[in-house]
Amino acid sequence: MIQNVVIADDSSTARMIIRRCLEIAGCIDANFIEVADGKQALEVLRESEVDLLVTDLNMPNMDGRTLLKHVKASPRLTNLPIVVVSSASNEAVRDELMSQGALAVVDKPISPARLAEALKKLTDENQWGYA
Amino acid sequence: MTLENMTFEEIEVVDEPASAEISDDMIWAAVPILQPHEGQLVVRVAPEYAKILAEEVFGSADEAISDAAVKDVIAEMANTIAGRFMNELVPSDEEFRLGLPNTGVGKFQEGSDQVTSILINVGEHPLVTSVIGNDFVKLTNE
Repeated sequence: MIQNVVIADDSSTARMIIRRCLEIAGCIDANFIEVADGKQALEVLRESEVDLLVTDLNMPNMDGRTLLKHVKASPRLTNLPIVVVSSASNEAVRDELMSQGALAVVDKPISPARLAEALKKLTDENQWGYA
Repeated sequence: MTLENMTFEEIEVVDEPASAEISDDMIWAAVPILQPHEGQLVVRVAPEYAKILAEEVFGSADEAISDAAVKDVIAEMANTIAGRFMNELVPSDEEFRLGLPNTGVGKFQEGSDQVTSILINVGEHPLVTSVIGNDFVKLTNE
């Protein structure tokens, strides 16, 4: 069960939409921790038990690509499921991010259905849990 | 539920708005386009309609929406439009990059580059989307 979710996006509008879509997609009882950039996300991830990270690509201070690299390089965090949401993704970007360990890449505008499809991979690929 | 279908309105599209329709009190959001072409995508919205949009997105018609929240809604709209625009323009196997949106109120300084604009009338409210950059005009003419 997904209990703690970090949402990283510099737009408060986007964070709100992501949260609502996640709730509709099944994360009804989850605790959502919202941050505005990758640096804040990394701080939360290092201090808390988190089950899912949903991150934008374009953010100040630390962008989504760098955040993904840091998370995957950490022995404690390397199995954390990461969904990247972005307006700036196409096939080339998706391939790049998936090869770096993203669970899924969802284009903006996001929807509950697209996020549900991404979250389904958690069950299908047994991505749950991390050291 | 997406930003698209949170607010559903009838629209009228007018190509190349007259400059008079771009008033000096509009709220604007500009997304830098960095790669492979350079330019900006700018969304300009009448202030009263920007407020309506923000209230519909945040679902709080009874509570005051901050100016920052209103600008953020327009910025996220511009960000999403810019991404879809570039997805249409750039081959799927070629990466594109966008910058972080800037927002403001009043006249947007377009600079000396070529501008292509589309006006959408949402009821009585104008919404102008412009692409600024000589690269884009070259692409249009090819």
